[in-house]
Amino acid sequence: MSKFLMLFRTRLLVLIFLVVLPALALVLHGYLGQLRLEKTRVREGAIAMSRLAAARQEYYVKDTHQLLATLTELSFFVLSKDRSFCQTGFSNLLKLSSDYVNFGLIESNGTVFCTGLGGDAAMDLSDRAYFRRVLEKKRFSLGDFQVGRITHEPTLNFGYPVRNEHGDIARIIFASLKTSLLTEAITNIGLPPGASVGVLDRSGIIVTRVPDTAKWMGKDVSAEPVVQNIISGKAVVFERIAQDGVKRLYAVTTISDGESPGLFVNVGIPVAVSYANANRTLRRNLLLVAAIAAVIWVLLWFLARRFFLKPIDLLAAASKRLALGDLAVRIGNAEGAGELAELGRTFDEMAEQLEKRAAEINRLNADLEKRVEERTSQLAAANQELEAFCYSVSHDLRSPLRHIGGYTSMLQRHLGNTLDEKGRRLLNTVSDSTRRMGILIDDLLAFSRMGRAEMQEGIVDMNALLEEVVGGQQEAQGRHIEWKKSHLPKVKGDSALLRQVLVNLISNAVKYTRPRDPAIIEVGYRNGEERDVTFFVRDNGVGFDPAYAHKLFGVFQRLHDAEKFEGTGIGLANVRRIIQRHHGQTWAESVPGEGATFYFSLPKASD
Amino acid sequence: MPELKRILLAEDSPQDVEMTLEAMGDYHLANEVVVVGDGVQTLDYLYRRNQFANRPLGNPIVVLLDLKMPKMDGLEVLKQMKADPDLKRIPVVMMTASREEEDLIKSYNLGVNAYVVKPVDFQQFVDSVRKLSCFWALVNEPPPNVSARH
Repeated sequence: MSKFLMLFRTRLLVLIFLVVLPALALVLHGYLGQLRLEKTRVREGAIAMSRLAAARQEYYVKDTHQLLATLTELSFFVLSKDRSFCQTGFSNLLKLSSDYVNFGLIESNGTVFCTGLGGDAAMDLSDRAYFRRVLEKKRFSLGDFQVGRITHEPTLNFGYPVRNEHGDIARIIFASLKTSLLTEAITNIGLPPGASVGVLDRSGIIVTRVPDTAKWMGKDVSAEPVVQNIISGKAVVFERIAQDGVKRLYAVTTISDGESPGLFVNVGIPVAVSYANANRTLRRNLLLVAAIAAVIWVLLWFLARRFFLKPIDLLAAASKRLALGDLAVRIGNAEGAGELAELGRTFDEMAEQLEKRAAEINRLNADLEKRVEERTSQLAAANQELEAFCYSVSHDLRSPLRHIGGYTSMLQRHLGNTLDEKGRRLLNTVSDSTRRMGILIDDLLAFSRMGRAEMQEGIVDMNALLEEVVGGQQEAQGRHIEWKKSHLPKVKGDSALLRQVLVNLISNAVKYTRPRDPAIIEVGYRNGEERDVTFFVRDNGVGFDPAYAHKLFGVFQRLHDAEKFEGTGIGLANVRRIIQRHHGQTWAESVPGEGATFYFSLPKASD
Repeated sequence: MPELKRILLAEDSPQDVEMTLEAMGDYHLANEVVVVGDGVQTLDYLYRRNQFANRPLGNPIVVLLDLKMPKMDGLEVLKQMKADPDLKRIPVVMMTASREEEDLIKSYNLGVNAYVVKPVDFQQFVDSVRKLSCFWALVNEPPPNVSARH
């Protein structure tokens, strides 16, 4: 029953799974759609954020542009030959504007005229990128990231041409913007966790980066292909696994200093962010589906118990009772059209049939018993008749026989000396035959008595019996006989009858080994069977023709002539009769001239 | 008149009678044997009734009783004898053709004094009868009051 339940449970689960499968497909479809949407969202977010960050940077660029343009208009200051005036002016300016680290004027040959920090006149800055670009482009230019030679601070430098009254470039004014400002500007733009913002200058040096500013600032990454692509404007939105191993979606916004791009602001948002939302939804939906499946399962389970398992339980209980012999058991009220109701009706029919059959069997048994009783009494009557017959045989047959013998002797006596040789021989033959018939009748009576006598059953020690029987063999005296006796097991039976069996078999063995010297007689057993034990008596005597083995155990059956081996042929018939009464079997094997083996089986004595 | 040592032989078979007498003849006991042919005659003799009403007084020294006889068998005769205080002391030898255990037990239960199976072999038969008659007629001392009531 429990095995069936398990099977049923499994099937129910499979069924529910099949029902839920489309829902799962829908959930998956929704998940993929949402993922696409989320990716787009992240992409747009990245672009927006990079624009926001760029806008803040650009503010500083434009601010500086305006400041330098304004200062250039003050030609008395920027074209002044008074170095200390120049320095004081820039120094005051620095005090006003903490965003800058330094201001200064460079002669068109690259030597410093003056700076806000002072003490650095005649320093050659002709190699500075902003200097060269201003000379080349003749307008406001954004320099590269650098650690100031004067300020020793990370700065981003801007240059602006200072023209004389002829419109030629006389000097170049520069401003060094603190990069920390740029860092601050991109720090608080509300980056999602794991996102990064970086600012590159056009030569591929990181101006600033959030987070890990200190680690990245000033690092030259121009060798990386992606940086080259950013600078050349090929990479605007792209996915990339960053050096920290996180895959991010990057959006780049460029900031120009007028004509050409000067700074590249990139915002990287971890791709995982886009999955997070979708995954959350997926998890929720899956849980929902599982909950629905569980509810369906529970519902089905209860319904199945009510409409399916309960009737089956009923059937099973009824079957068990039926198996235990309660044939009157019925399912009853098995109405309806379902298969289970049909099954119930079939069960009831079967039980009905069984009950009828059982009644029939009982009737037949009673009948049989009555007949057995009849037969038994008939048998008893026949037995009584047989006994009466035996009685009359013993009396009525023996008497005339005795008379023949008696009168023959009396005749012999009467004739005395007048009897000639032939007459004596004839009378002797009558006497011998009479004697012989007497013995036959006695044997027959003994045989019949053997079959009728009450059995005195008990545990029989076959070893003791064997010793006794062997010891009692008259003929064995004075003959050379080699006895091989096994230790025999105990059996259940009538000791006197079994003694007779051994007497008959042993005396036969002694008799038929008469021509042998030495005679070998072996008594043993085989313990192969479960309840029986098979004994055997084996001799090396004259044996018998196996073709007549089946006749051997018949009454008065002899396979040897009476002149060589005396006997009436009742011994083995007695053996078979006795063993049959013990519910055993007898059989014999022989090779003529080499010996014979006689077997008999008996029930073992239970331990 | 001197007490005769009479033997009562109850036997229905004339051949058995002849053979028994033949066997006894050697001991000159035959003349003292009274032969009756069935159980009724046996009791008639013992009670001196009918044809034996005038027989000489005195009980036989032994009764050789064949078991199977017409009218009344040996067991019935034995039963009546042993039930009678005057007859119960007479030795009774049951003679039978076969050794049937049931008969043996019944006879001893009724108080038989000896039980003899007639051998088929004549020589053995002769031996048995001689020993038997010799013992009961010559060796055995009969009960003193065998003829007390006469």
